[in-house]
Amino acid sequence: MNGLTYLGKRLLLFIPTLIGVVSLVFLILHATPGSPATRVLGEHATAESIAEFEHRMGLDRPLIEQYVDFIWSYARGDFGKSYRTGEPVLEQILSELPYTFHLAIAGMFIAVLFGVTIGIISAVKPNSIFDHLGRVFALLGVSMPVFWSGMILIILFALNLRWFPIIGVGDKNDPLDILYHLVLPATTIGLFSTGVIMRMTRSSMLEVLEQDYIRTAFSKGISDVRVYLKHALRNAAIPIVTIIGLSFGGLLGGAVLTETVFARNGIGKYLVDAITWKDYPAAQGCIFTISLMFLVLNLLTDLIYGFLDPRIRRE
Amino acid sequence: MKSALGKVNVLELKSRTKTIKGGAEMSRLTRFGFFAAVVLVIGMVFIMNTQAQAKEKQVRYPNGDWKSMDPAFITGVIESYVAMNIHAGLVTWDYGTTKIIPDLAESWDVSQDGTLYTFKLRKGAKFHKGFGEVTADDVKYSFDRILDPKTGAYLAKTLSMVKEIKVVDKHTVQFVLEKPFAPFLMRLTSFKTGGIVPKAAVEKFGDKFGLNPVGAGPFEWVSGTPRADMVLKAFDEYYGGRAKVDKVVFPHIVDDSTAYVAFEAGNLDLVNVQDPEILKRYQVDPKIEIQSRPGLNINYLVMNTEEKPFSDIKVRQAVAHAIDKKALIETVLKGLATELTGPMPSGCDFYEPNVANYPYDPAMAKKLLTEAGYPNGFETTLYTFIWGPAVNVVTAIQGMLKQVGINAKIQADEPTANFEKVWTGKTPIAFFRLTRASEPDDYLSIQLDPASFPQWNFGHYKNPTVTDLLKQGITATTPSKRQEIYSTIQKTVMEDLPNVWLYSDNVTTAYHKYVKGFKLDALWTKRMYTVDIAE
Repeated sequence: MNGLTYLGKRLLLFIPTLIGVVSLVFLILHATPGSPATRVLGEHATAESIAEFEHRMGLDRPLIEQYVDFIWSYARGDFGKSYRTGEPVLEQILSELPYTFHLAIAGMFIAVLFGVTIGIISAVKPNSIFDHLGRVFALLGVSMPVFWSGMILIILFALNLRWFPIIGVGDKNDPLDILYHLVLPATTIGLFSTGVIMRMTRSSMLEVLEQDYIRTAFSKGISDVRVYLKHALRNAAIPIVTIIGLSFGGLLGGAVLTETVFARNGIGKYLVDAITWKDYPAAQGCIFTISLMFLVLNLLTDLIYGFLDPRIRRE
Repeated sequence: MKSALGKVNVLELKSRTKTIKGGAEMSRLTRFGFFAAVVLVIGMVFIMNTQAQAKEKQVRYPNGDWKSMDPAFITGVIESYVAMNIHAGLVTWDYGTTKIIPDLAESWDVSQDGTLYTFKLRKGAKFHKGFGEVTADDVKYSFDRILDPKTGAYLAKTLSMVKEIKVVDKHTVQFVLEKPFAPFLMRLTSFKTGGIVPKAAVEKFGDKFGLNPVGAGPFEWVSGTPRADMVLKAFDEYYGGRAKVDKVVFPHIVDDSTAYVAFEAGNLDLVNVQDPEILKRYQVDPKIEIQSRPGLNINYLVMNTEEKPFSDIKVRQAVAHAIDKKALIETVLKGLATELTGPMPSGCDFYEPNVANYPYDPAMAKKLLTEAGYPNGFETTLYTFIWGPAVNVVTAIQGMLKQVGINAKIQADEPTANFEKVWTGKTPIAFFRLTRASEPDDYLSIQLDPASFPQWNFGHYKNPTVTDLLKQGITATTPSKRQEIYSTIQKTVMEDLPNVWLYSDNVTTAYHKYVKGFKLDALWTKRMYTVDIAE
């Protein structure tokens, strides 16, 4: 199968996956008790205002009719308007996404930097103190839930040491301030992936370091650094890249809790708010977007995998 | 160590054959990398700390979800808390109180029959962002807009008594009412719909005016969306003089734990406290000050007076005697509440303390149940919403009712679902909460007037005398007459006992000692005009 065909097939598979996800979310949201009208209008709701709201939002139509309308509007790229604010949902999602990307990219940067580095050193010095500490660190990283590790980091670095702020995204006109506000949440969100990447890097490197070509490289007098980074890491990279790609998708999910704990803007917090307010269009739009990003990331990971390994390309 | 192929492990080989240069290079690299990382982190912390120091005086007070800062669409308390910073009304509340004082109107007259209000506006009061002086035309525009059905203002009904608004001259405006309405001035504060807005700004921003509000309050809008921090800056031309702080930030924080931690870390200057354990910690912290007072809210049990068993007054009295309010406040609410004696809190205007009392007396409760024909008690379902301490309170009440033989199953739902259930008017007994300002009619009509069913009065309370007195109360033109009416209402209702009024949540705000001039009011508004930050 050539590359384009493969890509085409994968993209086509997006459609039933996304339809399945949004349909499930649609049903779950409509099955929860309580009308969005009551939630949005609050204590000032009257029977008339509720009826008027539901009629205006099309909530008084049969469920199947609402569902068909919903799928068709998504097919046209129309995510509808927020029940609460009346703003177009797509516009809101696009304004929140950059914050989530900042967080996810920063988290992934930390995860890759520390995960790969510690993994390499652990593999190079197996069963040393450093290796043991590295593996304990990795275990802690994968064991701690995001909201817990977030709280620990807050207590240690923000509350006690006062090194970093806890809340907000910083002054959007000041890149340094944005970075400053990213340190703790990015570390929180990156911790789990750091553990996963570290373990994969270590085991992949250990396997590669046992190969003959590595022995040959050393025999030729090539420096350790070149051997480890150019020869060993390159060949160990495939599973590491795969796990990085898969972790990125997980980071997007972790953003939901992290953005709430750190009171940061982003699609995760938008989703939590939307569910709290029974804002169906906003909740559906967020879940659709997160699902789409996850699928795209998986596809990119597979493509990079193929790029790195010529054997996969030939297949 | 040997590899799977039986060959010598490369690491062993490396350790035997590595050159001094290679080994040294690796060690140097490792060391260099380590120290570079440490220097980078320390440097970043130093630079960031310097960057992060405030260049201007700002005060940070967290706020939750909001929808719009357009007075036509302000309904929730979250919006109201901050709206008074941006918008000015004809009148306002004195800081730290809910006493009506002049705002954009420097004086007013009320006609003898109570249907004509004439307001004299301050000369020279300005709108933000260069939208000019506040004039009588702006007042007329602001209220006509609220009353226009096309606007779809959520609280237009609260101004339905206004027949006409007349511009007399540039600084004089009159409101003609259909009939006297004693709480009319309360409707004119910028807490909800009373904010005066410039027509040009509303037309300029259209649908987005709520996200780009322009008012005449002490702070003008800088930025904010419903899910982001709201930032205001001091309005230099505010009629009352520029505020002491340059900037006010309301960070969008919905999680209380995050707010408390951020406050303790110095990322916030003030925080509302609803957790008694947190309050205990703050009370012993020398760097934190606290203000606390009974709030303008009521928490109460609504009983269905149309259906058995609660249609029998003796059963309702038994419930009142079965509940130990003091214990509830001390053990469940840890002192963060004040006992209620009747249908409105003590901070309300025309509050009457001398009403029928139902002290905690389980023996009396059992006696009353026996007299009502329930010697062995009965089963029922107690409805509540899931928010704050409600479920804990209701669980404690369940225990107290059980002691007298009433076995109540708890039905707890998230607020929207709970509202829809109680609004059916079929729930036997439900725990509910209400927050209003200090106007008695705002508490009493919705609880006691049959016309307010189903959204309120879902216990179906009907007493024609009380209904009539409620109508008289809002049309009475003198305070003494109103006191007489509302005292009678409160006494009568406490005899009829359709509900058991339990407690008001206290409003408590903690702030760092460098925050000066903060005045807590019973409505928990976040008005920052009087606040200063000491160096």
